[in-house]
Amino acid sequence: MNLANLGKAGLLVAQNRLDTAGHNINNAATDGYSRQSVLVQTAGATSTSAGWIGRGVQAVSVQRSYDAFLYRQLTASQTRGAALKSYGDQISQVNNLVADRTVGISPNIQQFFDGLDAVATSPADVAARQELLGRANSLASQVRDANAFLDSQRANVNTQIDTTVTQVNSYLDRIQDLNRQITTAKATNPNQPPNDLLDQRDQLASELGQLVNIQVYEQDDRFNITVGNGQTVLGGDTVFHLQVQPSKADPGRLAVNYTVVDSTGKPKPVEMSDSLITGGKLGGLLTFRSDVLDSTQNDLGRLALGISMSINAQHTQGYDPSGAPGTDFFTVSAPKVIENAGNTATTNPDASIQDVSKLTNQDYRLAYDGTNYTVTRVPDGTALGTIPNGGNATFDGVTFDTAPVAGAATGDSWLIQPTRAAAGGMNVAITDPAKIAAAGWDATANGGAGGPAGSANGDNALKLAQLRTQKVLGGLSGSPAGQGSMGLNEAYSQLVNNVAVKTQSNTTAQKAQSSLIQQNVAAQQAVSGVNMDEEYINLQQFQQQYQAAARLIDTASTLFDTLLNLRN
Amino acid sequence: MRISTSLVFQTGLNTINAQQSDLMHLYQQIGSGQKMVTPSDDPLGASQAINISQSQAQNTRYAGNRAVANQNLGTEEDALNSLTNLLVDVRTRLVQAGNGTLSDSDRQTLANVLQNARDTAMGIANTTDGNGQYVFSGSKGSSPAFDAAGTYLGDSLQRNIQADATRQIAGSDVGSDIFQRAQPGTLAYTSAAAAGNNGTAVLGGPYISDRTANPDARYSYAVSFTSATDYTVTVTDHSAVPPTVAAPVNYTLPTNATEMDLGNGTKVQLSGAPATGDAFTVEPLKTQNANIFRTLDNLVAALNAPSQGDDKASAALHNALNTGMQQLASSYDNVLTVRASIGARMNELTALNDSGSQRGLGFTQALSGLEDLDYYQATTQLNLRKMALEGAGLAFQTIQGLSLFKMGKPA
Repeated sequence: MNLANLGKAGLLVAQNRLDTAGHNINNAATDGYSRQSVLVQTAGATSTSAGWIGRGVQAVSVQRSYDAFLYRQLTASQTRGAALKSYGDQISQVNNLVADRTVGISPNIQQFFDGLDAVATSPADVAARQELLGRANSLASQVRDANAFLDSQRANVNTQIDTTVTQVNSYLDRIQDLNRQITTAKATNPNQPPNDLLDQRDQLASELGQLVNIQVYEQDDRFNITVGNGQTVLGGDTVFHLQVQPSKADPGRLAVNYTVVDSTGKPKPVEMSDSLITGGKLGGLLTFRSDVLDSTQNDLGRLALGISMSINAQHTQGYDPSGAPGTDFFTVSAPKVIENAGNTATTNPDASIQDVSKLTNQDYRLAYDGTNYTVTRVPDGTALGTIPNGGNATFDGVTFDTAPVAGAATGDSWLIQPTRAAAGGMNVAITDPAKIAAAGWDATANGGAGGPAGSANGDNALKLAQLRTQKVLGGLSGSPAGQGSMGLNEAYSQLVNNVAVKTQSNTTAQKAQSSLIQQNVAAQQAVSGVNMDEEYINLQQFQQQYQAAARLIDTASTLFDTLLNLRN
Repeated sequence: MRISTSLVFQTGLNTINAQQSDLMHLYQQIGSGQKMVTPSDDPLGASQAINISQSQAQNTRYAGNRAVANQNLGTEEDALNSLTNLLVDVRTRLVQAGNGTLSDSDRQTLANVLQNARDTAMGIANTTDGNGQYVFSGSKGSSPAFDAAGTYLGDSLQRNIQADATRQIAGSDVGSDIFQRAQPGTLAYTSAAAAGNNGTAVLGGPYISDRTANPDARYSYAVSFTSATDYTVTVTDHSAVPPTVAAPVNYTLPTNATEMDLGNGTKVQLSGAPATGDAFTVEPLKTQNANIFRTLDNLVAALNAPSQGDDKASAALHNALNTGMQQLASSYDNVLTVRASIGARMNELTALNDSGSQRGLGFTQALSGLEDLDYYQATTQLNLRKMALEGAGLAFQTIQGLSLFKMGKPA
């Protein structure tokens, strides 16, 4: 009975379709789910003399509504969005740190110079001297606090890099697992796609993309994944986990390492340059660290050095009430010389600040090529020049002295941070108000021989107070020593401006990116999303198909009964 | 285009989130009264505000400095005012002392008065300020300006005060400029008689008779009488370094002379009769150490010396009184000069105060323009955002209410 068979085929297909619609409704809110539909075709026809009589319908496959192009576009935009978000989360903290101009470093700079002015105006007033010391301490502690905040943010970024890389590795493991499940499913049922597993894997890859920028190549139903500029992290059936290790050039900074297999077959970590990792949360964190954290902390250190060294230089020109020459007013940390972990040299070169006005907010790499040392700015990469072995030279106001180096081999290198640690080490060296050297030199004293001016003289304090507006920082490389382009307060306002501009442009980029993501989501959802109303109509339609198919069987049965009844 | 159900919900959520964060920002602006909640709202404005507020702080500080300068100069002016009155008084007394009818005891009384005046002047010279610092000792604020003998103990450094960004004003004057300086630029001379003169000659009122011969009071003269009418003058030229001494020149007094020619365009009035061996000096004030205390000491000593009925002693007294009066006249003019300079500085401080407060207003206005919120604009925005949020909520409710599953169940 063909009619009954037709009814049966229709019933089966309707049931398949109803099941699939149910699956769609179930997963309407499942992330990464692609709407499924049953692909059907006619079951062919039987040739008769009257022509081809149709044999009904048959389900061919269940397929997902998936567009690889839209999916990739969405994933790529989310990768960039995640980078902007993690960068924004971090920089907004720095932005908030400098938000209120009535508290923090700027008013403390002003109060410190107000204090100097007060001492200059009444040099013999012990209360004014005491207050100046209090204000100097308050300024130093504000600078240290700001630096401590940046330090803690650095630690926080390190922790997040570590956590994120752990997450990346876990995603890689799960994608590898799905790779296996999919190949197994394909082996079991070679002609039918395991739609739900494919969706899951796509979703994992998309989530991984929000952690770090990845490239996915599909080969033999497997995902192969690379990061950076082609470092394989999932290839074939092997996961090459990323690792977090202290950077060789700077052990205080965590770097991401990928794994390669060396000639003996053992896995070996290789440090990746931060600039290779661009997208995703990890990319955002690394960009923040080099783009904002390093430069802001260097700017702050330079400000601390600018204050300390210019005040010290002038203070030592003066005399305290007892006639003794002035000592250093502030102490600051010396430039930090960090040896590369792979160095053979046993001792490090020296770095000292020769002209504070020429300091930049850059770090420096000193690399030995067997005969000479080359000096390069980090991160901007400008090559500054070479220093013969054992010699010294001054670049950007910093003197690099290679004489102390012993046992250097070709390839040895050092990272020199003239400003990074300066803010953290800023302290007031004077505790006794009577040690403030407010007085100047009296050339006519002692019968023309000259001598310290008396206790009521504030000439040196006047000069100290004038440093408030003097351009002690930001000198160009060609300008004379001590002649900068920025006052101390301007250096701080420039720091604030830098942070603010970066925050603002990130916020703008983030807004633009999130509307791009929304558009991409809408486009992707237009293909793959589940619309409840559509499913409702489908349900109605397939229910009717089911009912009609059932009616076919009913009709066939009636026909059969009619035939049987003929004999009665 | 198919709109997936989850996208409807996601879009609703995104819209409401966006509206709420805008509202939050407005709320922060209104709450703080500031346009910029964080520097990133206006990076340039934020850094400008920092720079302007530093200029403002500096301006405020200079106003404080000026107040101190004003106070210091006020203290000084008070002291010098007393000194001026004292010198006027002393000069009146000296005129009195020249009166030939006074007896020795009268003169001793006057000597006591001058002695008191000297003590008062010493007190003025050693005036201290609120910090116990001696006002007139230059930079050596902790040591007195003058010791009991009238020697200056301080130095020549004035106490400068930063009165404005580019102006330092001396908040003090040094004692040596007040108490032991002839009036700057003076061309006056003083005459003095040597101790032990035997004649009755009294010298007074030396003056430059010929400006071309002695353009800037550069010569000092030592007069020595070789007879009652003949004298030699030794001229020292102070314009050279070291001063050059010319060979003595001989002069003869005309009969009934009331003036004596010293050469080089300088003359001195003469009364009485000189004796052989008498010596006088006529010196420009500017080369002398015109120490008020020494002058007063000399006057006290001269007044204390008995001269009643003794022509020789009387001549010595008058010579001493003349010297003292010439010196005090110069000192008096000098103190007035210093007071004038103090007045000029106080005037300048007032002018700087005016321009300072003008600038302060400018800074406040600039800061306000950068930072202060326009409340009208903000409240209008607030209403607009509120409506937008309500609209977004309503739209979401309406859209998600329109589900076929709600309208009827499958038959």
